[in-house]
Parts: sequence; C-alpha cells; structure tokens
Amino acid sequence: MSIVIDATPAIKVEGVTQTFGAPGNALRVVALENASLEVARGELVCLIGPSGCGKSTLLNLMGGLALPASGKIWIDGEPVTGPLPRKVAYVFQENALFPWRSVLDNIKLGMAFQGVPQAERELRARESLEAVGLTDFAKHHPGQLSGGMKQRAQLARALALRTEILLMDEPFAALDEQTRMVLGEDLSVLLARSKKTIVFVTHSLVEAVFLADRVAVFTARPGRIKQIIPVEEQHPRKRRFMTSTKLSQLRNELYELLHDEIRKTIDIPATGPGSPADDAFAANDGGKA
Amino acid sequence: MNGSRIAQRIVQLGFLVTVALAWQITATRGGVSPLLLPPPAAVYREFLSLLRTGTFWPDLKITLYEMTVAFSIAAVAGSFIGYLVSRSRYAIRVLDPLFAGIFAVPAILLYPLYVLFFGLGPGSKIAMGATIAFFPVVLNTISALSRVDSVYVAAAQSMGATSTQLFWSVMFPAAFPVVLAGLRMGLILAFLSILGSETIASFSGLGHQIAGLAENMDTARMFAYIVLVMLIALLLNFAVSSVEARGKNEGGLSVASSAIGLSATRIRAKMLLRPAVVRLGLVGAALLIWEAGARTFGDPLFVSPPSRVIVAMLHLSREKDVTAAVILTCWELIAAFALSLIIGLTVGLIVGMHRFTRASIYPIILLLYGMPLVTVLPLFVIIFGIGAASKIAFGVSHGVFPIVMSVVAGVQNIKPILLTSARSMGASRRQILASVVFPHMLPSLFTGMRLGMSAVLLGVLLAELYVSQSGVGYLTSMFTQTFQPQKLFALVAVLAAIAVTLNELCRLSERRLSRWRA
Repeated sequence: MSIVIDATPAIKVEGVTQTFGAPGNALRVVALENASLEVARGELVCLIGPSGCGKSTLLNLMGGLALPASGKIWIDGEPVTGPLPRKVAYVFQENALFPWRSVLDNIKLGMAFQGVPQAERELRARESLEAVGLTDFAKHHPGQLSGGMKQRAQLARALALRTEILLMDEPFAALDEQTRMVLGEDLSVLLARSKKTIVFVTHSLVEAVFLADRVAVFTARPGRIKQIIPVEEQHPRKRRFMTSTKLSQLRNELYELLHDEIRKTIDIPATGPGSPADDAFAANDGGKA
Repeated sequence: MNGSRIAQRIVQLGFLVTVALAWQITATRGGVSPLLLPPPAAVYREFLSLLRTGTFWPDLKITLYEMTVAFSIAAVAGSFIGYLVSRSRYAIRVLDPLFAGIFAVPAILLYPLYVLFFGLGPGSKIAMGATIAFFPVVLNTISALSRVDSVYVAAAQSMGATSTQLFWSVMFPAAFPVVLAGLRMGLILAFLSILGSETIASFSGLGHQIAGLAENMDTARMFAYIVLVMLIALLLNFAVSSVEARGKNEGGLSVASSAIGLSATRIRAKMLLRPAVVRLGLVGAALLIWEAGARTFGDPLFVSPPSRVIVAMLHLSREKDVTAAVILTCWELIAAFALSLIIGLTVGLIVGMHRFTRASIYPIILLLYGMPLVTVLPLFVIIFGIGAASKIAFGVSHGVFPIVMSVVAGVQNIKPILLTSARSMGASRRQILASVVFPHMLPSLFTGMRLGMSAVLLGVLLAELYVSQSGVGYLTSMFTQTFQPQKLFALVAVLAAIAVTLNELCRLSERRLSRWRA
C-alpha cells in the first residue's frame, strides 16, 4: 500500500456518534454510531454501505456542516467546530450549481465568498475548467448542460477553491453507468496529479473499488464502520483496471460484506425504520412502507 | 416539532394581542379622537348590540345574494369557456394573453357605467362581481387543463381510453386543484368587488352601510360592521380552502395568483406572430361590432361608438383638468407602488428567510390578504383625508400583499442544496442573501410586482371613485353623472393602456430575468 502516514492525518474521526431527533422522541434515529477513521494525506477513501447508514452524515460532519452528538473530528490536527471552506471543498450529488449564473460565474462565486482577488478568480476558474474539460462551456448556464457536465462543473468549482481536502457525496449517482465510469477515470487522473485528499461516498461497488485507496464498509443503521478494505493499485487508474479480475474479486468481496446489511434494510423488521434517506424525518415513510 | 408549533401559536397570539393593545392604548391615551379611532372595547360593545338587534341582517342578505349570483355566473361561464379554449392550443395562444391582459385592467373603473346600465340596485353589483370573478376562473381553467402532464394522457390513451373517459378520469382530476384555486380566487374577488361597488354607489348592502356610517362619523358602529364583514370573509376563506384541501391530491397550488401569473407567461414565451395577429383581429372585430351596434341601436347617452371615443380621446388630451387628473393619478400610482415595493420586499424577506417566522407570521399575512380592504376605505379617508395621501395609503394596502407573498414564495422554494453549497464554500450570511437568495427570488419578485402593480391601480382608483375631488377615478364618475359616455370610455381606454403597458413591462423584465429557468 502506498499510503504515507504523515505525523498528522488529513482527517481523523474518533468515536463519532450522530443522532437526529430529540432524546425520547419516537422518531429519534441513531444515524451513525461510534465511527472511527483516519484518512491520510493524498488518500482517496470511499464510504459505502446501505441506504441510511450514515455515510453522508459522516461526510457532513467531516466538513463541519453539522456537529456530532458525541466523539471528535480533526482536520489537519485541528478540531472541527464549523465549516472549513478554506480546507474542505464539496461536490454534492444534487445539482448545486446556481442556475442563474454561467458555469464560469458559478466557479468564481465560491472564490468571491472567500475574498479571492478578482483577477485571480478568473485565472483559477479558467484553470479548473480546463482540468475538467469544460473550457468551451464557460459561458453556458447550468440548465444548458448535460448531467455529466453539471457534475464536472461542480467539480471545477470545488477544485478552484484549492483546498487540500475534497468531500464528494455521491457525485455521480444521478448519472448513467457509462458516464460514471468515464468520469471516474478522469477523477483518478486528477487525483494522481493534484495529490488531494478525497472522501467519496458512493453506492456503486465498482466505482468504490475503481477509485479508492481504501474502502470503508458501513453496517445498516445505526451505521458503524464494519470493515476497511485496501485497494492496492497506483493512480491514475486506467480502463484496464476497470476490467481486471483484481477489481471483480474486490467487488465480490465487498458485495459479500454488504449483502446482509442491505438485506436488513429491505426486510424491514417490526421495530427498526429502514428509510432510504439519511435524515431523521424520512423515517416516517420507512415505517409506513 | 411539537414545541416549535406551540411557539408558533404563541407568536401568532402575541401578535394579535399586541395589535389589540396598541389599538387600545392609542385610542385611549394617544390623544387620538375616538371619532377617528374608537377603542376596541367600544367596538366590541357595538358588535354585540349589532348581533343582538340583528340590524345587519337585511344588508347581509343582499350582499350574500349578490355574491352568490355573481359567483355562479362567473364559475359556470369561466370554467365552460376555459374548457372550450383549452381544447385547442391555437385558441389558448390567442385568447389566454387576451384574458390575462383584460384581467390586469381594473374593471372597477367601469362601475359607473354598470350603474348606468343596471341601475343602483343589486343588478349592477352582480354584473360587476361576475365580470371580475370570471377572469381568474377562466385563466386557471385554461392553465390547468392545458398543462396536464402528457405522460398521464399517453398512459390513458395507451390503455384505450375514449376521449370522454380521458376527460373524466385524467384531465378533470389532474386539473381540479388548479381550477379550484381559480374558483376560490373568483369567489373572493366577487365578494370584494361587490363590497367595493356597494361602497362607491348603492342604497343597500354591507358596503353601503359602512360608507354611510363613516359619513355620519359613527366610527364605533362602522368598526363593528367591519369586524362583521371580516368574519364573513374569514368564513368564506375557510370554507373554500377546506373544500380545496379535500380536493388536493398532489399539492395543487395554494396561492391562486401564482397559477394566474404563470399561465400566461408560459404560453406567451412560445407565442408566434400569427396568434398575436388573430388576437388583434378579435379585438378589432369586437370594436367594429360595438361601433355598428352603438350606431344602430344604442342610446348615445349610454353607449358611445368607438369612433366617437377616439375623437373624445383627442379632445381630452387638450382639456387641462383631464391631463392634470391623469398626472395626479400617475403620481399617486408611482408613490403607492414604490412604497408597496419597499415595504413588501422588506417584510417578505424578514418573514420568508426563517422557517419559524414563515410558520408563525405568514399565516397572519395570508389572513389579512383575504380581508375585504374596501370596507376599511372609509377609515383611510377619515385618517388620511380626501387628498392624495388616502389614495396612496389605500393603494399601498392593496399592493403590499402580492409582493410579500411572491417574495416569500421565491425565498421559500430555494433548493436547500444551494444554501448548503454556499455555506460549504464559506459564504457569510450577507453573501448568501446577496448571491443566492436575492437572485433566486428575482423572477418571482417580478411576478409579484406585476400583480402588485394592478393591485395598486385598483386601490388608488377605488379610493378616487369613493371620495375625491380630483384624479382619474373622480373624473370617470363625474363623466358618468353628467352623461358623457364618450369621455368616460376615452378615459378608461387611456387608463387601460397605462395598465397594459405597465403589465407588459413587468412581464418582459420577468421573462428576461427568468431565462435561466429554462
């Protein structure tokens, strides 16, 4: 394994538990239970697990968008107490581009929020547009882009912020499989070049194995980290790796690990909610189904 | 969740108590004459005696009778014509913008004319109410039926549905919520316009009572009547929305005006030249029929052929007092609109930005919006005098609500992911407001401004019609009283042109600003 363990890991999560709903409330949900994880600098860790297992919750906690009920998280050795826009950038599953701004202006806006000087904004925006191959679409509005392009534009916006850490919450989930695979290849190239630390939530077994240095497998709710599987393969990973037996073997191993957990969420027992979402209120629907 | 709901109720109650307390204190200690603002206790006493003696009953019966007849006519005619129009995409393109345009012109201006035709009795009120209530019904019916998701239609047709089956099992249920929203707005508009016409000129009905009490400075009793009317409006609103809640299967449209605002814009965006030509042709044909009819059958004292109206229009522009009146009205309009915009935007942002204020304050605003403001018109005159101030204030009272509502709607439907994303990139509260909330809200604000504009127009003209020594509204009633219909029509045409122009300007900027929505 090619992970260089620095003195301080990029991200350190220790005994983190997250709950939604007030104590004693019937709808109270333990989304994440006693999770611990270290992500080294330059490493790509994939989080995979059944719906509602707290993967996205953990991602939001890492970036400081929410604070844990108990446990601690450090970024660069500093405890997280709120959003860290200068250290952590996000790519969301949902299209989070501002529809009234062109792609270029969307990318510039993030930098404007952080007070980057005007001239530099333009430069950095052009650079990251080129990195994702969207130079020709700078003046387009998000409504005029395909799903894959939108996600690339979101990635460009995150890259332009030049953060050390990139948190990606199922960024390619809404795309078709072929597009997703190609974007995965691009991401691997990008990673090899930029040496960013990336935490990547996904539902796709193949995507997880293809991208990750390590895959963290979650249990069904309440989500715990069941096992961490290393994938020893140099970045940038190519198409050949996608079709290799090594990848399929790892994929099968992941499926074995996940199978029982997924079953738990589908065959809903009389007591536990098995909602498809990571938030507490969607548990209503799970109960009814 | 329960805790916050209780907190919302507390805020709502607190708001009402504060208003009542402030009222009581200004009335008793603020040095305001009880003639202008009677204390709540006195109003309460009058209200009780009103209920005990039942003197309001004959007036209430007349008003309700007028409303029922007017609404029935509007509902039947509106939904039937709306259905016919919706059967052809071409007819929609021709007629929908036409209806929307006419709807933007304050029909209350024609009220003096209705009095000429139908007399001072219930007839003129019914006709007025039916005219005004017709448009929301027809517009929403067209919009609802023409925008039924084509997937449903295709699914039904693939299963072999006949056109009758298609209508009753697919089109009708799918369109129902929006049609119902139009009916609700129609009912409320019928009620409002009937109260309005009773206030302006009548010898019976609740509006007439209130105006009469205001003239006699019997304010406590007037307030008691106002409370009564408000209660009726509340009941009406409640009754219709409970029907609506039952019929709502996919969330429908809670704000009726939004459907109206959208229907025309959507279809207009794709408007071709030809429908526009046909539409102009229709208007021309109507003018020709009018001309021919007026020349052969009409009494020139009542109806004036268009040719004479045009001549009168040319003459009017040379009459000093007419140009002065138009300028005065325009000035009142601008002042009232600017104030509405400032107040509406501020209140809308404050209320809309937070879930808590939205849940607690917004229902109060919606409630106020459903109130027949016309009944308070005499009060405005008592407080602000019969000059421009009362017209502006009354215009603002009309214009604020659509703007607040559209701002709240615009702020409310921002995708949460956009806010989260801005926050994750380190945007401050002010940056989020300026770069995310505001641009997102802008198109919706323009819809609100357009609706607010016609509301302001209505408010100002109502106030001018009711009591005034100048302004366009005053002139229209004067021309009617002195039997100069060609001048009346000319003036109405000028005002209609102003209304349509303002409306179109708003619509154009609205479309420009919402291009990204495509």
